[in-house]
Amino acid sequence: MTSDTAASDAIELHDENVATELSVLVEQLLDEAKKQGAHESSATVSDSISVEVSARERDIENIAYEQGRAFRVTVYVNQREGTAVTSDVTDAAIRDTVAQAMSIARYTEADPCNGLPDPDRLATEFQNLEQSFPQPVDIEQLKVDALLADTTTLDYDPRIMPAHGASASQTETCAVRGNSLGFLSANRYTVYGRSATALARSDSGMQTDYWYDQNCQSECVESADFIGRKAAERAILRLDPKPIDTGTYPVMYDRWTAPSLLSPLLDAISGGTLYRQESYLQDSLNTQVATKSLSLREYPHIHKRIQSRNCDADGVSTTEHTIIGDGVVNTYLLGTYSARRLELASTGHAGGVTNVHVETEFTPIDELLKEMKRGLLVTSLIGSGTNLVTGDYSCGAAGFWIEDGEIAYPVDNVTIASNLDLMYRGIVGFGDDTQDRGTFKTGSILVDSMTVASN
Amino acid sequence: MSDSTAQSRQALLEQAELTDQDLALNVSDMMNRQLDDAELFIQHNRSEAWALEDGKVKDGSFSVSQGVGVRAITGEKTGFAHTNELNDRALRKACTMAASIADRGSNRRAETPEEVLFRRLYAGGDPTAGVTNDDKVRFLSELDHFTRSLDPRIAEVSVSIRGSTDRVLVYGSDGTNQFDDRPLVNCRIHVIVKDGDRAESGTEGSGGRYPLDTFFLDDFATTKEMAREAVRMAVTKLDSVPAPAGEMPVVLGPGWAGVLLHEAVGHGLEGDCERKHTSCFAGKVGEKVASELCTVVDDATLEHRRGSLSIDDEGTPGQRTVLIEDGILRGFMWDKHNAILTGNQSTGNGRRESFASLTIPRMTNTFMLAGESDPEDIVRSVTKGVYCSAFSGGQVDPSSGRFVFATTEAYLIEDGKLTSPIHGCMLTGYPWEVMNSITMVGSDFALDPGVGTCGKQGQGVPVGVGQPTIKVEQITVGGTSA
Repeated sequence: MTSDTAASDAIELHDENVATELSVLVEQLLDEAKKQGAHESSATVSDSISVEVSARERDIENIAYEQGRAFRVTVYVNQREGTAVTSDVTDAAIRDTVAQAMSIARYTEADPCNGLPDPDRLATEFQNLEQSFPQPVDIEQLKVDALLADTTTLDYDPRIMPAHGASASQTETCAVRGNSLGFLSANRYTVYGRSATALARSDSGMQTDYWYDQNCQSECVESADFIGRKAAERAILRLDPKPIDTGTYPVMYDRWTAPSLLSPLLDAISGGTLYRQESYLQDSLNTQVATKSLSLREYPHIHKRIQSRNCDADGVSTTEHTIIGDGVVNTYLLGTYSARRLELASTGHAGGVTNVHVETEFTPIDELLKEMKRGLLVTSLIGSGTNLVTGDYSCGAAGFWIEDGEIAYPVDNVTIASNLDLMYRGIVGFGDDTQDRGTFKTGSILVDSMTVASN
Repeated sequence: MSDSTAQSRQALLEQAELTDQDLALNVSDMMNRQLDDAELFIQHNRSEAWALEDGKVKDGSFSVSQGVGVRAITGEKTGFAHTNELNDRALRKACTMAASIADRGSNRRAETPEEVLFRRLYAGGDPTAGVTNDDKVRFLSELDHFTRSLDPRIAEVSVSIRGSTDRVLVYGSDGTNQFDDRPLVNCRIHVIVKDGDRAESGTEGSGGRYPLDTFFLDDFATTKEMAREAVRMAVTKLDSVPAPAGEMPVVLGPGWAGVLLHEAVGHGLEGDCERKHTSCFAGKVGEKVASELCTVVDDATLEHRRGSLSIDDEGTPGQRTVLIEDGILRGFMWDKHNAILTGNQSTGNGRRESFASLTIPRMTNTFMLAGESDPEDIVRSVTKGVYCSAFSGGQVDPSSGRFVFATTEAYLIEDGKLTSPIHGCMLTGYPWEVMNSITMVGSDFALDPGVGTCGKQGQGVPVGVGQPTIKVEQITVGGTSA
């Protein structure tokens, strides 16, 4: 028996009964909470197994096997709340963990907004969102994939140097959530991923970039050689950047950086930000906060997507709805607690959004670049310089200088700055080059004017 | 090992249902698979947090994280497995998986474990012991009342305290057998102030490896000072004007501004970047990389500091490592694995977020030593520029060297004087340009208050930074006022 076979044999993937097994634990936690005097309680048990293989300089570098289980229990006693989390999976831990949560609930102050969701908002329909496509761990295949991605990167161009290499991974997770109102929901999903980093060197210095893809279905992940090539290509394109003059220019976020332009807008209308009075968009419901051409619609139940879900972190059912319609805030994003704080109803957003699509009139990307004429195309962002309280925005960026609607040369080490309010109102075009790798489905987005500082 | 430490170590093993014999047997079995090195890392972390917002202590949480991480090394390859199931069966399974990395012969055998003596930089045990839950709740409420009384424009106050104890046992085939018991506490105050239609926020925090009741001493004297500082910062910003854009002289105040060093030079001086040639500093030991006014060290040996480590996560005693001396690059920060592969010695910088993460070289407390300039002279020397005193954090791409860091409190300098406060903005530059354009270094060295967490490869670890007031002749300021 070779050593690798021995290891593969030792990886026990979840069997069919894992959800039942975790459900039993959730029931145990809830029963224990009731026994110890909780009036209401909720519990989550999750279990995940993952394997990641990385390769570097055409050889395997790391093989990492991970297995972890965790409990989380929240108890309510007279609207006082206590939470405890543990990765101790012994039977005694259930009792101790609940006891810790109870002891905290005895000392916190009562808050009328605390407690489980209103029973009629709890999800009752659970469609199969098809997020779990388990397959046996094939270490040899993961090694082949990681090596191929690394080798393709290195072979792409003589200016590519060995750097951090490439990886291939597979994860299986099962999470069961329940509460003392009888709610119980199990969620199983798989994630297959591949990634590569590339370091390119020229006389003017080094540039790195990366590429990755992930999906719940193994066969839908971009191929290892594609990932490797893409990482190398991106790093090479960034070589030999030129300085630009500090000034005010149109800025286009490419389709991969566009999500980070849009996500502060959702943060600013999220319950937690609003009830803490930390948003520049306080009292913005039904008001215009962005250009009329921007609509954001959420689709929580798309099949075969990792982000999809039937219910939010409180167990409240998720629904398809328009968040921003023609630039107007149609709904805040509220969980049970934040909704009560704001005297509104939960929108099923405890834990955040699912799949958010930009819905607008898209412009062919080449035309959009021509419309832009001269300015900065951003392909990479660094640092987080967003102040939601004031809307002030300042971020490190790299990308390409656009001259006469075409890429002229790479630009590095600049900052782009404005105010979120001006930026969202100042969006003047959406590219048709849409991608939907993460939460957002969006193309490139053109902002009319931002301050670009350079050396 | 003192009696209490020995007891604490024994309790960790008992909780894990393991004995010293189990550790020895698993490590020697792994070494029979022809590895270069095998290591077990057993951890038990207990933490609790209490938070007040909207005038109510309504959030409390308690968490336990425990498990074992197993590392097997052969040449440049690492096999890693971890589990939070703690018993000999689970450990044996993890060892088998980690050891499967072995792909070549090595005749090494496990050496006899031996504890190396080291200096304890902090007391072990639970830092929250001796503080009752009543005390914690009263503390948060009183601090809330106090903070709200400071200014009528305060719209919202949140206060939190957190305390944790982290017990780790490192047991390796190289004879390592080290135990550490690490306390960590922090307190954070965040305020929102409103005046007409303007709103601003201010945050102040502090922390370290000391008992939680430190915050309660002398009628909360130090925490009240933090509250004043958070409010002052927020109120000051109500009058802020847009920040300038472009390259200009910048004066960085003492303490937290050391985040500049952390990003600009620290990450690039971590040994994995040197071994993989991915750092802009790779191969430059002995060369001038900064102005001769700059001496930068990484020092794990400061007592009670947030970034300090009596031993690192590979059992190596914490050290003080000179990184840059009078502008000349002196050395890198090493963990064992990267050090062995490059013929260096570990500098006690091998760290991991938890048993569930692989050890990589990381900073501890990284700072620039004091110079000779009077801080007031430094500001006076600038005709037109920016003074930055508070920061929210930064980020770096170690290969290009490009780094950014975000100011949260800054002022215009006009004719040698601080004038208007400006909106928060990003500063960006390349290390060799910025470090070589440091033309004045102040005598007012300070460490940060103990609130920093550094992220690398998805792993967060507590760190410290520090520096005196410094003047950077040219750096890009990312404001809106072009």
